Amino acid sequence: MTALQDAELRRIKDMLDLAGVPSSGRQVFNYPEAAMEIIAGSRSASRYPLKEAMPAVMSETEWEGLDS
Amino acid sequence: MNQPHELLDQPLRMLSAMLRTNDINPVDLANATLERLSVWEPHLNAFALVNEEAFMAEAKEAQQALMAGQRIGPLHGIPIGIKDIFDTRGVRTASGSAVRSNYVPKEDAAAVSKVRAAGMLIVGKTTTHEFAHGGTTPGTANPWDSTRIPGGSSGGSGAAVGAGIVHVALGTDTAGSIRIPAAVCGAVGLKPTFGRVSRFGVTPLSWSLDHVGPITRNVEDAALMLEVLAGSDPRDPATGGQRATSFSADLTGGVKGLRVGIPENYFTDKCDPEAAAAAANAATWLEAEGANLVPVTLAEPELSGIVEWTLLTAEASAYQSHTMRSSPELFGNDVRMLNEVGETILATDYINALRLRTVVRGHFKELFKKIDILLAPTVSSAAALRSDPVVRWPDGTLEGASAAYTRFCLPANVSGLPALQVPAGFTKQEGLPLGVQLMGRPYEENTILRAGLAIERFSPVRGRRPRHSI
Repeated sequence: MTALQDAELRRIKDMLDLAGVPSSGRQVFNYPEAAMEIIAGSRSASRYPLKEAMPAVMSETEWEGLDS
Repeated sequence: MNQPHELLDQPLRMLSAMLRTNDINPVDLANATLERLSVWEPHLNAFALVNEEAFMAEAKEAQQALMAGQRIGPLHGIPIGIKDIFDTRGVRTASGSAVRSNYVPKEDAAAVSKVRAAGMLIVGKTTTHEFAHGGTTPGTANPWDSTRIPGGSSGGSGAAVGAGIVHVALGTDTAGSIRIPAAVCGAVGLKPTFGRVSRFGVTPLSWSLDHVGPITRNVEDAALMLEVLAGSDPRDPATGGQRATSFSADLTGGVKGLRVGIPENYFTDKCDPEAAAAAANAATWLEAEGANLVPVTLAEPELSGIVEWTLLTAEASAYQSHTMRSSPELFGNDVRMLNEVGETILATDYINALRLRTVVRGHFKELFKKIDILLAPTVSSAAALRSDPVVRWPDGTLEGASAAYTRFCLPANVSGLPALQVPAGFTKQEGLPLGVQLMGRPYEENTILRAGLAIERFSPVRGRRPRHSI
């Protein structure tokens, strides 16, 4: 485990503690690679150059002009 | 007169006609279903709950109604399995979790109300990966090889239809959970357009990604079931503004001139050669029927996974946040881990994932200006072993089965586009089913169903049933 991953796991622990999720029997530390892969993916959402993209709200009207 | 178990191999339209003309009756059909269930269930564990007494009582009522000249709906007297995350009035709905082991809903889910209104008879509740949060459905086996997983999360529905216990079962699809079990169990699975079918009364996994749809034995039955299930419901705001469509009537149009996108990236990465070959074969079948194959490159395909897992884990954790604090020990280890992960997703990342989703959908809008449907493998490999649910790639890397199976399915959840899984071949050595998926424009399920029917006509899986059949 790299120092960065170790730091990330400490951050996860702090966040769960702050959120009030019970520490007993925590599973995220039993599957650290899977957990960090998802979290790293979520962080990359904020690194992508989004320009003016608005949040998607799923509704039929969003598709107008495409369906024929 | 057909033997009772042969009734289960007829398409729904045929069965419905035979019931209408009194060539068969609901009680014989129900008995045949229970007979096949008794043979398969010890090997599969596809059902979380079967109430034979209630099922037979419903069958007798259906028969009496027919004898009195009444027909409740278009599928009067036909049995169906319901995934155990759909609320069923007065019947335990545990969502595959100890968290819900005593939950008995007071009201039917919208989709359950619709199948009851169509006259269908509920055999029981099919097994699900806990809270639909996984792709393997532990405890349930694949009918083609009981040492293999049935996929998930609608694993019981896939296994029950694949084995031929029922013609149809309801499923939900958040990252492929209808299409994955259908693919690895040799069945048809339809994830309709987001908003086509109401999710009211279905335990949520992820509100913005969840879809309801059928797993069936053939494409024609999927079209018929979509007619039953589709429609607006004020209790699910996503379903506003539907247009009425006869999916069955549209099946006859053929595929001549249809532009079929053949992806040259994403769906070709980390894909078992036999799964890729099944998709290539399906393309040639469509071309033989007059479709035009159009090679396409997906723009920024990696974004779909980022959006999917950010939204899914955060929304699932939001839904489970109370239970995660009051009784976290009741969750299975894998689901509890995912719930813990979701607790750590930042609000800014969640919002930016929603913005990325707009980008992904923009890419698909552009893509579907050049093509009418997209053809790709449904899953990257056939069913994994239950004892070792991983996929081993030639470069030496291992990928968990859930991750490997969801990879090709989740773009349709992120985009909301309709997607249809159709059986298209078998692995040479193990004889396990392989499938292809067809993605279409929003609310154009009729186009992918038409193409699916064309593939089905050529498919070697057509008419084949797994071993141990009666």
